[in-house]
Amino acid sequence: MSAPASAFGAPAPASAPALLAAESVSYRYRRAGHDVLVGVDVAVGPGASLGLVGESGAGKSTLAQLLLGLHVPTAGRILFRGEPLRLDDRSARLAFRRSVQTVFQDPYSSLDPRMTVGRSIAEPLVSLGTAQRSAEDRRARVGALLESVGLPADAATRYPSAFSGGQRQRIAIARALAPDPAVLIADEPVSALDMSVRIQIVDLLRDLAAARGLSLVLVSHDLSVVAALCENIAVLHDGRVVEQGATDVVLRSPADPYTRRLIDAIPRLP
Amino acid sequence: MSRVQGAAPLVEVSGLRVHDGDRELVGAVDLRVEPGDRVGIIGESGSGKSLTALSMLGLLPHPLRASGTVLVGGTDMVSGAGRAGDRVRGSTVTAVFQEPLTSLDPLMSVGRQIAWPLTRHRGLRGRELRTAVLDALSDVRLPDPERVARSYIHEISGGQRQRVAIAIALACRPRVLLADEPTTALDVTVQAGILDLLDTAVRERGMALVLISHDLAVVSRITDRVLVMRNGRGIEQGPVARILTAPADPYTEQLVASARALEAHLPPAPAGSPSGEGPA
Repeated sequence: MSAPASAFGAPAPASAPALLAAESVSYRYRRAGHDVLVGVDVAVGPGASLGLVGESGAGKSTLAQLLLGLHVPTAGRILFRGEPLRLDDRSARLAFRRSVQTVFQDPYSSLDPRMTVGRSIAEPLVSLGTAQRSAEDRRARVGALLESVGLPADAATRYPSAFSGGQRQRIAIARALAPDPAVLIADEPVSALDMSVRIQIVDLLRDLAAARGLSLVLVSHDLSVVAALCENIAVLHDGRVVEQGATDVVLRSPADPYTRRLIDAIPRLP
Repeated sequence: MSRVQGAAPLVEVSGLRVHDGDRELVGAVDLRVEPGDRVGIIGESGSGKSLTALSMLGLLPHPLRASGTVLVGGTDMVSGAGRAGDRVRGSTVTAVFQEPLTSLDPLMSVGRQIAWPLTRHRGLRGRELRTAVLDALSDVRLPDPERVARSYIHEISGGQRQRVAIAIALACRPRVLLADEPTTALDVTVQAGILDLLDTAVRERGMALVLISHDLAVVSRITDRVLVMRNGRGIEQGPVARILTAPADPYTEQLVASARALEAHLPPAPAGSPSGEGPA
């Protein structure tokens, strides 16, 4: 009874050039009475962008975590570059972690307060085995990353406490970009930020994705943020994808009543 | 209490400052709320909007000190945070906060939490009290009030919890309701219902509303006038329509532009949706 994707829905058969995909994925948390995800198919192609939207409990963050390889689906599978994700093999796992990076909602808790910004950004390079040979090269790399997110290179020497929420989110993005990933999965990356900062981070993500040919998977309860950033959208409700397709098409003429309700409920400026 | 009915404003804030030791967190805020007014306070994090709200309630947390004038129903909430303040809170002004999980008591049934202010401020007992509790729950459109009254807050949803918090706030028929980010923690479809509820509850009872929010669209939906705050200061104040179309301050202009820029990515609001209505 999986809800049919809309006519515009792009299911993810193995033949599609998907970079990262969930195929008939279900997930049940340990000791939970029911599946939080049921038969979910989503995919993102190289350089493409996919928004996962829905309300609390819809399963969108769980789906993001499955795509990140943080949990293993109860049924179905995650495909990366067309191959089933293998987390048991160390080198395959490290290669996957380098390729698929994440940014979380709360920049106040996602950065270690006792690490300088430079160390935080260099940390994935070290732990994922892509660190530059010399400290000098590493510093240059961190500086370049900071500049790519609109911060001065000398921010590296300071601690997160010296930065505002928006600046911290820029730092978290720089850290995610450090291993030069192919996919960036961002879970509510602007929800904790003030409105005027929100738009800046949205613009930054769009520019970075375009400049680097990044694939973007964006989890958000805010349809306007998804509309601003993603060409495709999947609407989740009670663990199922009720509708997916091109964002402008879905938002303009939603096929599913739940999607319509979601769109109608957004408060608008008069 | 009843003699201050006349021309005196319900809430008068003038030259309000809030200090944490030597540090000034709020500086010189002025706001007047007349009976029946619907006023929004908009600002980003650190703007001082919540401290302004807490000052109106006389509930600033310990090391913080307010100075200036805050009169609510004629009672000075700056100095009279004691007994006089207690009488004003609950009967003249009540509040709804962002997170109903922390503002409600997890160990007390919903019915008892609503009964408490009814007993204290309206002296209700027995059968009368029981009826008033169930009425309060159906007033906020909670289905099956009998069952909800027996429930504990972990047994009901986030939206229902916020309805309970509103029921408690309305139970004593206050003359002004202060709502601090009442829908920020809620899903968007739930938010729409809560905003409708606040809108009609305030209108039907002829109450005044002070709505604090970071969200311009939310504020413009149910208030007529806004105070824009930034870094502890009131930046500008005026009718919602004027603030949105002709902001006087560059900061307000930027705030409106950001909200519009994000909204511009959405298709136009469907005709007949509640958000299409302007404030009455």
